[in-house]
Amino acid sequence: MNGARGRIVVAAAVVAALVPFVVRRGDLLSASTEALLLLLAAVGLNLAMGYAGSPSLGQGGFAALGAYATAILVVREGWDIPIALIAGAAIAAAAGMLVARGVARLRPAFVVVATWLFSWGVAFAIAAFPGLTGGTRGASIGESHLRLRALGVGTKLGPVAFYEIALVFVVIAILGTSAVLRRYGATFAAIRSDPSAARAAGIPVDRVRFGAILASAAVGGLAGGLLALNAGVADPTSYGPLLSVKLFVVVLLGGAGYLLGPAVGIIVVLAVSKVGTVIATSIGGSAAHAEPFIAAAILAGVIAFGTRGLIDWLERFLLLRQPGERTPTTRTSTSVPAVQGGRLQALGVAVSFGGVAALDDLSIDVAPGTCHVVIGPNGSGKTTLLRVIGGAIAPDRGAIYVDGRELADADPTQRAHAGIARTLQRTAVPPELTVLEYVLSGAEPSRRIGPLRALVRSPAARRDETAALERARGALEATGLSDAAEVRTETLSGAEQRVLQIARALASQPRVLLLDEPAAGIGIASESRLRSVIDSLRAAGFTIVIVEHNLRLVGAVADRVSVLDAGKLIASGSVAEVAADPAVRSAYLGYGADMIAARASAKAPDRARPRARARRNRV
Amino acid sequence: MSFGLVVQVVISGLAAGAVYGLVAIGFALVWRLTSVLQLAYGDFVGGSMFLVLVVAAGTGPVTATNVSVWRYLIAIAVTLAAGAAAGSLFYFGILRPFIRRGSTLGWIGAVVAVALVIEGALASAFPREAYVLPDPLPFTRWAPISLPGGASLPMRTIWILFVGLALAAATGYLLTRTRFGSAVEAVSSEPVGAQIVGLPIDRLTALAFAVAGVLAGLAAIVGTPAGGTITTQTGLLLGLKAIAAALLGGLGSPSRVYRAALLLGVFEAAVVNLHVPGFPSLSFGPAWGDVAPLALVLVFIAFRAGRSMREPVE
Repeated sequence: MNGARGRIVVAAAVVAALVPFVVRRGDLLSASTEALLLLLAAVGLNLAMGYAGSPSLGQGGFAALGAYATAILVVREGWDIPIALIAGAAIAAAAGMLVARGVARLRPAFVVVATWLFSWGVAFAIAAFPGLTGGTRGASIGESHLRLRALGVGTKLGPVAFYEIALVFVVIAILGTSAVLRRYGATFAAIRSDPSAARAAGIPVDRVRFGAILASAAVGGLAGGLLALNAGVADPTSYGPLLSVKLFVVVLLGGAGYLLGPAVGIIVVLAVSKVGTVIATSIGGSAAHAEPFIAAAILAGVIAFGTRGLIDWLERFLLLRQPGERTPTTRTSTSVPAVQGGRLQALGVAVSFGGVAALDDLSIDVAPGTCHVVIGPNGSGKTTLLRVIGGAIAPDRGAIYVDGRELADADPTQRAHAGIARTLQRTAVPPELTVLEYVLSGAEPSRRIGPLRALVRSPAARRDETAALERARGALEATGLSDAAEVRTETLSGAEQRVLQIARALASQPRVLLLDEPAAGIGIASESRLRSVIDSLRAAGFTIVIVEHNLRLVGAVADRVSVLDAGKLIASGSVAEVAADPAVRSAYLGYGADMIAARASAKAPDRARPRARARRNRV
Repeated sequence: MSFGLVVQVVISGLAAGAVYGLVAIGFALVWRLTSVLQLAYGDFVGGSMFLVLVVAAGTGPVTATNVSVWRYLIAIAVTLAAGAAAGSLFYFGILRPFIRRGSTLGWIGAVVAVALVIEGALASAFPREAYVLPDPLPFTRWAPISLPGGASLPMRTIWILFVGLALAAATGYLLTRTRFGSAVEAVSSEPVGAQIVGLPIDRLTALAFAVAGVLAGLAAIVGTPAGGTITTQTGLLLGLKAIAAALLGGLGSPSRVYRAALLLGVFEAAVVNLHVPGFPSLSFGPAWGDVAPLALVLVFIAFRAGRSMREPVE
């Protein structure tokens, strides 16, 4: 967190802590406590939705679990309040584990559906067991249970105590989020902006999302438990799907992914709800009937103005956010410390998609410290080969070896640990990150410190942070991007963004680099830049496999070239050898070469057509 | 469980599943054709139910049979027409800008907002605990078919199963055998390409939503619970279970989704009727009827989510 936001949080907390000494009416104070607890649930949701990019309509369900578990444990089992609260949060977290396990891998739309079904499932479960939950009346918590026992002394918890407790938790949650962001902020942003590219870079996308959803469920459960204690009842109408929608709206309205977004969101939502209820009752409706309409109206308002939220809008409106400064020069001179490149082998690899063989018994062997370029017509299986080596897909047959050791699990993060890093064809960079932060996300697979130690900023966590930053800086140095470290990624040119992808791959400290069409879409002028980066990496000892169409670049950087056609290796050798190979000419130039050959023989021009068509069909 | 009970469980499960199937087919159809997950679809079904009620019998108390067949037929016609109109209006009026922008959060928000509005409107306009939907089709006149073990197969169940199968076949035909089906699939899977080859994207998508609206109306009419008792939440509940069934079916072909829905119905009936002799605590009972299907689909998503639901790995 930067200093300004930290001061805002502290100042707001101090002012808020004084509220009970001004507001003397119990009901008003209790309503303020409720608002703070909703904020707590929303801060938790922001972790999943804003940072990990998993839009969840399940937070109301987690809050409901926490509320009912806490109420039932306190009343029926006579548990102490703190322990019951922890148990409530734990039960919500357990449900969160089940939900997160599936949801972490899903496309965003299905995340919404699954969590929506979860919210309803919890609501039905509460209605289904009136013996336990009190049915429509809810599970009420008598005054006598609202006592805090410590050291043999019982203290009654009044509205003021609840208010201050809620405030403390809100502040802890916001500062905790900020601490988590210090460790995971860049990783989160990388996952949000392009999960596929993040996976390819070895970032454990599913695990990070799982953790974020789990944490958000636990915070939701805790907020639910406190809500029930504050209200003196876990009441079925206060939780469940409608609360899920409300919290979803709060996060979206303030701005998903902004630390203070939920706080802004809750203020606006409560104000609009208040006005809406007044209007509804004045025209003769009931407050309960008005609720879904009000929630729908706010939701409609949020999506109508885009889904970036108020803080983003305010920043742009007040011009607080400076447009990124374009740095004029990034250096072409680089410094790359020597590495020991790995020997990469793919043996007998076969992959088929729905009966179509994408790779057919393919083997390549790349010597350490050499640059191996794979070329071939579109659809010949080049990218599929990189995906298999990078662990994105498991081959039907065959295996990948680095330095003679077989890499078993098809998992990009495992591959990153084994020293393989891959870049994708496209460059989708998160605009909110600086170049250094983006490259830092690439260091994720080699970091050893998890969220808990990051939260308390243990010495090991600090060392880990320093080491990761060093690796990121080293990667920038190696690619000549050091001067641009502090500018935002979106201000880089297309060619520089290509180089940036390579820099991120380097941050995981690989020994084998897989680059998928690094020169796609960049001009001739920028090509030399890319070439010098690749040259210096090879000179430093990296083993590099490149898929590339740009024959100028291929000729300049390749030690060896392999040519694929329809999933088969049709030639392999030095640039000159391959260029002279007639099979390569025919396959690589495809239809035209066939035509030329046919014309040259001047007899059967028709012969060429069916073959070319057959190739297209295979694609 | 006795043999007769097992048969009865399967039959009542199939009957319930067939109704989920009708709605699930519509839900999956919208997804296939427009890449929108229509979370408000159950509410469209609920709205259709109450539209049938109002047109056929007004808001006064009705019994299942005191409505004239003519008025009932008019109600059906009105409901189906309204379903088509609501479907295309939903697209043009609400969803289109978000789909065009490719804003997932946008269309999700719109769909959820519409669901809340329909739920809220039904709850305000129909304050009574429950309503009876007229059902003049003479199923009660025919005796149920007796099966071995004391089970019986009501004619209504056969009717629902038959209509479900027919609709699954019809939507399957629509998707795979008609120009409309292939054109809309093209729009859904490759919008830019579809536009380049000159497909009228707007009209096709609106038509897809209209078809789904008609399906919602049909599901409301055919899927009336036995006895005709409905509440303002009947459609919503049906929609949630249908979504669960559609997800279990991998949002695939109509017949696959329909089969998944039948299985879900049988699963629900089995859970509700499960009694283990000597272990009363292992008997779930009817309370689990609404919880079990949703729990099942959440477990399914956690362990076996289909390819169509997962993020692609490049």
